[in-house]
Amino acid sequence: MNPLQERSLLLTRRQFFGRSAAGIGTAALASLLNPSLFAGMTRSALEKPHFAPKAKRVIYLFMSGGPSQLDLFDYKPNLQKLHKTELPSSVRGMQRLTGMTSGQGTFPIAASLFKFNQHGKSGAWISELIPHTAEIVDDIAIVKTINTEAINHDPAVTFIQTGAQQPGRPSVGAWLNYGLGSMNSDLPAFVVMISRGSAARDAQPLYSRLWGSGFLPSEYQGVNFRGSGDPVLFLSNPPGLDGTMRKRFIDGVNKLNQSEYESFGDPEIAARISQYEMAYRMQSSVPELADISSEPEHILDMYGPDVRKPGSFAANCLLARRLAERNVRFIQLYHRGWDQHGDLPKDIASQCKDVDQPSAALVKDLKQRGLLEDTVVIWGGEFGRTTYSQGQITATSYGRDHHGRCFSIWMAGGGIKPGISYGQTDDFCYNVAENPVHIHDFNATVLRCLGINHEKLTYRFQGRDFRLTDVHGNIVNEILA
Amino acid sequence: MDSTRYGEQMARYWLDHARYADSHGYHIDAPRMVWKYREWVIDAYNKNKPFDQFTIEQIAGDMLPDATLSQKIASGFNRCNMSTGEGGAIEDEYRVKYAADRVETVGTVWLGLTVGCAQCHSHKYDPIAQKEFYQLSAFFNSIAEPALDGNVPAPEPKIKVPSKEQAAEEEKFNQKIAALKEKLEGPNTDLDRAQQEWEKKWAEKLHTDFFVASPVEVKSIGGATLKNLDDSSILAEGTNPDKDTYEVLLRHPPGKIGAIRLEALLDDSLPNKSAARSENGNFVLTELEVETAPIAEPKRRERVRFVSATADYAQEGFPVTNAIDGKSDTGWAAEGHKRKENRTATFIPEKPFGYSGGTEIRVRLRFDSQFPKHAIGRFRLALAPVSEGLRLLTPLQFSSWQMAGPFAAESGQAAFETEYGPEKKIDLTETFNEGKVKWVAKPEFTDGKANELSGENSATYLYRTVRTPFAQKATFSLGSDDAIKVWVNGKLVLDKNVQRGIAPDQDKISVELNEGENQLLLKVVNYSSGYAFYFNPSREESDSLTPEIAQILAFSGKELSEQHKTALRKFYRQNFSPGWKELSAELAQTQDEMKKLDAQIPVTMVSKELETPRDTYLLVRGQYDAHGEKVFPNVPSVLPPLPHSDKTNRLALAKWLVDKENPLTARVTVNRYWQRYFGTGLVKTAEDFGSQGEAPSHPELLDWLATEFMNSGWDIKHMQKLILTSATYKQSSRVTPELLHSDPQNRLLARGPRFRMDAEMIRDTALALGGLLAEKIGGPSVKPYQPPGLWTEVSYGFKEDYVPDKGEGPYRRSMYTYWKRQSPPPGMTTFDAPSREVCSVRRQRTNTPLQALELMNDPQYVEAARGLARRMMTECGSNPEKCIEFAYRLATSRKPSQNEINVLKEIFEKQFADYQTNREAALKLLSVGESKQADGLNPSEWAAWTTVASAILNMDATVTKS
Repeated sequence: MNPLQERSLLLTRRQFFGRSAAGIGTAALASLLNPSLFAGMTRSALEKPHFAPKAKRVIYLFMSGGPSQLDLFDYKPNLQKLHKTELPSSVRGMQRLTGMTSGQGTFPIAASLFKFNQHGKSGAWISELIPHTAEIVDDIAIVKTINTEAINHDPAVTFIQTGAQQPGRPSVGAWLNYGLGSMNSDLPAFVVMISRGSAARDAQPLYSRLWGSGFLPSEYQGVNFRGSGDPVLFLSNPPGLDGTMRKRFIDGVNKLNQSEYESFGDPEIAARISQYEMAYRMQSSVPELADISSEPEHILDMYGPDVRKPGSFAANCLLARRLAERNVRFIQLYHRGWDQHGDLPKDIASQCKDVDQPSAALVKDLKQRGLLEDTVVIWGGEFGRTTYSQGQITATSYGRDHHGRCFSIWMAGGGIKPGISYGQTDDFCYNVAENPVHIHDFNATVLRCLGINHEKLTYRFQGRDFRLTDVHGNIVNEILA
Repeated sequence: MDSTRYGEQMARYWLDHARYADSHGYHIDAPRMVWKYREWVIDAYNKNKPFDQFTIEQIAGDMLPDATLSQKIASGFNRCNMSTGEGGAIEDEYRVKYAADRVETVGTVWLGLTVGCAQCHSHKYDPIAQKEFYQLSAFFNSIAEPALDGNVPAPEPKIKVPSKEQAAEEEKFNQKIAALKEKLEGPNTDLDRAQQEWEKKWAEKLHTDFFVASPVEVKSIGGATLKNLDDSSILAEGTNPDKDTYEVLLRHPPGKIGAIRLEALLDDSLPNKSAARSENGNFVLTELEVETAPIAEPKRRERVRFVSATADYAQEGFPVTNAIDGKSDTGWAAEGHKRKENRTATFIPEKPFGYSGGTEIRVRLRFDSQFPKHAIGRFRLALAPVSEGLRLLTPLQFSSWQMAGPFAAESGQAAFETEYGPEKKIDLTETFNEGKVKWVAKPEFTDGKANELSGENSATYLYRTVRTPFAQKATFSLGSDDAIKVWVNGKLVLDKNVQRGIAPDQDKISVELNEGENQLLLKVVNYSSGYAFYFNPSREESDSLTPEIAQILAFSGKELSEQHKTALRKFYRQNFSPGWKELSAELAQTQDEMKKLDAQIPVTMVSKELETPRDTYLLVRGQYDAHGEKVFPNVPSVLPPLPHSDKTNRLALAKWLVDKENPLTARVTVNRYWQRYFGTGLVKTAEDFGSQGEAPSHPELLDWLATEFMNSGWDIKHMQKLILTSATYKQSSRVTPELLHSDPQNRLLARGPRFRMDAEMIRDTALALGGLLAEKIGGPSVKPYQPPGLWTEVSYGFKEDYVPDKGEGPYRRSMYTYWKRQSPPPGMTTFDAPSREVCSVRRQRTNTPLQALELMNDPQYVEAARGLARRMMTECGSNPEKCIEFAYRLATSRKPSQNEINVLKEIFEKQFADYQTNREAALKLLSVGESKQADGLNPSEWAAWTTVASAILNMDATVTKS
């Protein structure tokens, strides 16, 4: 059993012991158990956050595959005249390339085919591919110098999600769940939703370890909300067994368990009773969450036409807002299909169409409900893409290989300074020129927004105190409000 | 313990330790075939293989003397780590990961040592130095596996594990194939004699004399020094650039040259006394280029185009024709690093070259391959004048087909008789039928096979040019469906108005070709249905000699190389040996059947050492490319050393792990047995016996159990019995307030164990209670029900689909459930089964609402409840209270109290009432699950009992062991 469960159960026992040495009646049981201990599905390790939190929740819009920063956020007009010329090897330096382009004889620069314009009061340069995001520039902080050592998908996505390239460690969501616990007694504290991108024919895979709990107790892992069928696995009762019957059933099972408890006295039985009660509550709370029929038209329109397609990114964004309203701690969306090695202009445009409007709508929607101020919204992938083209450059097409040295992520909401761009890449959008933000720094900063000192949220495993940021990570104060 | 279920139960735990899975783990998580290893584990436990043998076979079964198939299968343990096939992954990086995983696994499972930290720095608390980590990893760094698994199910090394029947059948096939091959290719006195005569005949006809050419000028573009030797060969010395081009100028007296020969000659001054300038002695000639000019006008240069080449030897992938293909990334190579022989290659131009006043010939030898310094070191050129032999050798040059048509008519006859445009004249720019029909290039039409056309009652024209440097006769072999006419240079040479199906060689015509370009026009007419044509050229009197065969016969002289001998025999037999076709077809079919059989034989991954061990280095800060000092296999100094007598290899390590002097293995292992039965080990941190782990709660007991284990001869069953029959184990697991106060976690073992069962046991119990559990043991993994789309939504390209098994698959024991690392079975992970990405020796035990949902609503459990309900209705009479007692006892091994009976009875009565009113709901509930529904049971009653049974399956007492 993990130390936390131990600790909380010890509290139960003290109360139990204090009351009576004989047995306990059913009625007495409920009053004995401290309700706040079972407030949510997961109990927090910390009594309270290390700092006053700016945010209580995170919505992470993960763009799986590595969206091209050159075609979206990092404007390099000077590359236009260098289009098709060879990227100087001094710029590349000793970078290790993936086996896909290390065999390429030449590295011709592919300037973005897309136009950039300035937007908002902040004057941020945004590509024409994401006009809706352009509308919210004054609410977001764009960090252009995120960097990672990973060069391939599996290690890179594992790295940004768990703090290490090797599998085995808890995901960001699991750490936060562990640290802060749940705020909602009827829904999981960590929810995951996956959507399929329009350019997803060769979409890079995902792994359940990305929302897994690693060595943390598995109750902290993310729960996958499916786009079709039961949102949570096995949520619905089997055909022929309705809600009334289910209530009757659970009452019966709990009575049996109480009887067991009286005979055996094992506190785990008491815990199981409350799990069944929570399961029952989820059978109402989850469908209620997923039912968007009460949403007004103008809200639905804000997210775009896909919002009515269950399982689409837009639909998931709307659900994310609803989850946030219900105080779900960590909401992670994955949109797959950003790995544009070839045919980039066409494919990235269709990917952007999937996500641009809903992402911006989500921010706007949260803001107008006063939720943005205590929710951190993150948008980005596991790495960026190369300035040089992978394969041929034609008038209408080019490809880009993986690039970890610099890429862009935007953040908004609780604790994040709005309307800024942070970090400068060099003229070739190849290296960081100023203010690098390593993935560890990024994760440390996210934790800080939620009031957590990344160096102090630890878990002992194999004789060592592990943490999300391992032995690294510096908070980027400049992007904190 | 005598039942085979014992082995399954024990194996189940071991699979966590071995990190067994049915997929590779990284990137696209491709399927993996290693289930034979799982069978081995089950079998090993059932046979009560002693733990030391169990250990040795898994870590180094392949290295045992005369290793049996079973021992090799066991060595699959080492291969159970995750592997990647991701494009672009760096090999060294992943080799390091694999070796590290193996060290950590062995460290955790046998030594209770968490060595992972030592990858980057010396372990602070336990005395494992960083160097020692890498020394340990060196034991596992020489397995002959590729770094990237290629996304294939069983990357090498692997072995086939045929059943007895399969092995026998394979043997039969092998014998048949050998016999057929012998007939086809083996010596045959009559055929061989005939072949010899045939070779002699052609060698004479095709014989061509070469005259060595003395170079006038020689130059190396790359800066090497080229020296003329007395025998007209040229030797390269001095600067040795990575790439080079040699230019040789020759002067030839008046006359035409029909072929050019290049020799690569051995020389003592060259590396390895080879014919090349490379370190290993191999060369790659990427291109041979020749330019000619009249001696009188040296500026009037013309490129010679070569149409065929032959060499006395070429290595796989580097045929000599690469040297005339115009590509700089292909070339001719002949294993110069292995074969120390002179080499000869001959090149035939499109047409003979040379001027009446004498010719300047510039020969350029290019060595532009990616292999550095792979230039020929000593070479010689020779030229052959035009001869009869060369005449015969120069192949005809066919352009690709141009097609015009179809020209539709009222009937096939009409189409045959009407003279359409192409018959009148050939103009490839001309269009017909008001532009509706025009000449279209058809590069996809090939010789020697039927080419399909389209159109009913139509005529189609096919046109191509045939170039030859000499006037000669040629034989064209034709086939058509249906009618055909052929013109050569405007002269009608075939006129056949037939209706037939297509087949090769239906008509053979002999035609006269002029020097230069000839025009060949076909008109193929379709009456109805099938429409196609067939064309295959061969040479007059050529016995269908291919250019390669012809050149072998012409240029090889007396000494034929092995490659040439094989080629000639194959060609001769193919064309002249009677019954060859039938035998060949039989061979092909047999090989096909064998392939089908092979596909069914299970394969499993095994370990196998490389002949030369890989170098292992200490890695600075654990970085794969930061090599510190080189290290050799060794064990940490804090533990007893390896026995002196053995070689320091994986086998030595395996033996060392179970050596009597090793203080750890027995303790760590018995502790896990204790953990299994008591929920927590004597050492709680079963994976960590080091100073950061917990101290044992009962140190003397642990010591005693450990020594007992070793003294018993590592008898696993003995240890299980010992623990299970102990008084400690038999204690009641009741928790009283006093016990809870003094020993909340039961570490002091004042009471019997009580803890929730593992995922597999919960599911297996439910299936067994429902009378559904399939008893088959072993075999490949199976797929029970799963909510749709789980694999799809995470898989590469959304391509993978989970298709549940029909039949008994969904009812097999959970240990056989297909384990996909990227998306493990949700029913298992909900109950804390680890992902199997890494080794696990201790599972968590959580209590979550998702578990509740699973037990209540997962179709497998609903179906199991239905099965249990059926048993309640048919196996225990009609008294409801007795039925409840029956099921309760089955589930918990206890009798229910009256209170408990009442609760369940109340559920039954209320459900029964509801299902009587709503019979449809009852039927719906009963329809969950694939197992068939028994006849004769009242659905309302059955559905009500199903609810009761489900309640019993959901009880804490059912899922908890006490």
